[in-house]
Amino acid sequence: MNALSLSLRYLRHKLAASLLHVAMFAAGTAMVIALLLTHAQVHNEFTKNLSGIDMVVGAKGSPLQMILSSVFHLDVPTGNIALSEAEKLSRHPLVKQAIPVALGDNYSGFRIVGTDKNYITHYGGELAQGELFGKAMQVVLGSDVAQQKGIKLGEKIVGAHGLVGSDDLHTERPYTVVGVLKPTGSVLDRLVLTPVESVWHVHEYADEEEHEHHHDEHEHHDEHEHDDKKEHDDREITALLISYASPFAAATLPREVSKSSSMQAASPAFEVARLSSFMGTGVDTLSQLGWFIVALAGLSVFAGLYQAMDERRYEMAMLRAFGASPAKLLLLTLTESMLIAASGVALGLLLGHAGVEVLAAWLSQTRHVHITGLIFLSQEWEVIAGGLCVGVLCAIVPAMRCYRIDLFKTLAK
Amino acid sequence: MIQLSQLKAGYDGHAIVDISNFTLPAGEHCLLLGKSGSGKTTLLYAMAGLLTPLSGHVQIGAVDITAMPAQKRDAWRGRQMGIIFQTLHMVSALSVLENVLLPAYASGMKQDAAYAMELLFQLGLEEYAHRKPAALSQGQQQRVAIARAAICRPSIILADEPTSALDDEACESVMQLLLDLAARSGASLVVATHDARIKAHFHHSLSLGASQ
Repeated sequence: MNALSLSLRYLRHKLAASLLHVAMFAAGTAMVIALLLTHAQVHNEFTKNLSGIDMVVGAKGSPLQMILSSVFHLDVPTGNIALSEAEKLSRHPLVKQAIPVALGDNYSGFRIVGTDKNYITHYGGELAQGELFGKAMQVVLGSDVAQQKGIKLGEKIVGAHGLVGSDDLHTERPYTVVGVLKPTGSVLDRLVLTPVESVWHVHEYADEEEHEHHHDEHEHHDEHEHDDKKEHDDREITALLISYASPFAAATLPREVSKSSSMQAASPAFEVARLSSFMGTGVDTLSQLGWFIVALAGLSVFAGLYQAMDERRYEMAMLRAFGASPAKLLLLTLTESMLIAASGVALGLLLGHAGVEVLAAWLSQTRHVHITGLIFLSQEWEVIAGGLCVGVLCAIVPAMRCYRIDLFKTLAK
Repeated sequence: MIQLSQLKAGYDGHAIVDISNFTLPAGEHCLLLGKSGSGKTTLLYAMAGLLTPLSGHVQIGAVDITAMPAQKRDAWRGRQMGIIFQTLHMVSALSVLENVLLPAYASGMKQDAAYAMELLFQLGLEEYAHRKPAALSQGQQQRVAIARAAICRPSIILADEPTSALDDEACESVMQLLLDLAARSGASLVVATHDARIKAHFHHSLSLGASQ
């Protein structure tokens, strides 16, 4: 007999209670793990989409709407801005990089984004197959788009007008798929990327059809239709994603833009902070409720295990009468308590990750949040340590109490 | 040898037992007699070092156990004494054999399973060795408790009412077993009881509660 074999006997003898304690432990751990994983990843996904974009310039309107539409691709744009103005701003000395974004069409609900190659490199996109777009009407697909639609290289796809699925198809101007990106975990995965010129091209054609005999301006367009490189005064994009060349830019550039042009500038970090302050109360309440449940689970684990260990005080008193040292009693209670704690924590880790993975499968269908249960965060070590600490605490207190109790009163009863 | 001097024992500061002087020579047996509530159990626990006396001394051999720190006293008791509690305190999670071996585990002495089986055989319990105590009758459990008290080959066996729950026949056989075991290891047997049936087996006795 030793501490381990004795502990196993005890646990097996009260199998139902032991399993209940393990289950409580597992439920508590799983809850914390799930909360950690989702919180960290949702936060990470948000900041990943924001990374390196210091300022967004677009048409005047709600700054938040502009950020949501052009950075997160969640809302409709505030309108368009003139290409000439955008290009002038791009050449500003305080601007390190300016990436154009032209929205307007979608492919089966996935947004078609007119941009340049910098957009892809900015989000760390790498080609899984094919190549990057070279000229108008070529597209590169985000990993989710390619996977969900099962599209191969060389296939033609047809965009539809608007930002959500519609029947207004641009069948006359199909795109050719030239590349597919690897998953990035950013907004890139859900986009169809094409040169800005494609968006103009598709819409000139559409406009031409709609207003064939009414608009002189568009006939003027037609003359230049095959020469997109030539300067067009009325060509437009939706927004410009700007990174600053110097921190000083933050102080002057947004004001300069808003004052001297028909465009507005907004800081994504600021707008997201504002957004979360709107929803703050709700999110805070939810996460506080989560931690409250976790604390409750921890407490019930402690109470349950503590009581189980405390019920053994007669036996521990007897062991003491038979000559066991405090160290021996502590080792015995510790072994038993840790067997429960360790298996509970291990099971909880497994459940927590599996739970998040299930949640992730469900969320990936809504297409807005990409998380996974298959990563391990460093904070999880803290959860493991915390769980095992509860186990240690539950063992130490009864073992210590056993050395303070009155053996006579306990055993002679 | 057990020597009690100026011993006052009790609890909550209230002395129940007051013995000015008593000596039991080594290897001899003694009966602690008295009605219930007279302090038999109190004295037995004081002799075992499970209850710290209010004053006075308990000397066993050359050792004054009242002067020992609790932890050292526990270790000493584990090696020198076998105890049969009135409430048997069998560990229900363990088999009969493991229950017998428990004091050896607790005191860190050799867990001699062969000796435990021999004891169980002697007590007529060998076929129950791998059963749980709950499957045994009260009399059988009493005998397991005797084997458990003897496993570490103690020099003193202390028993609290070991026969009071048994019928005449069982009482006689339990007494015989206790005396045999004590004789084998040359141990002193100290029995606290109000059971008049076993008086005949003892030369020494200490009557309690007469003065109160």
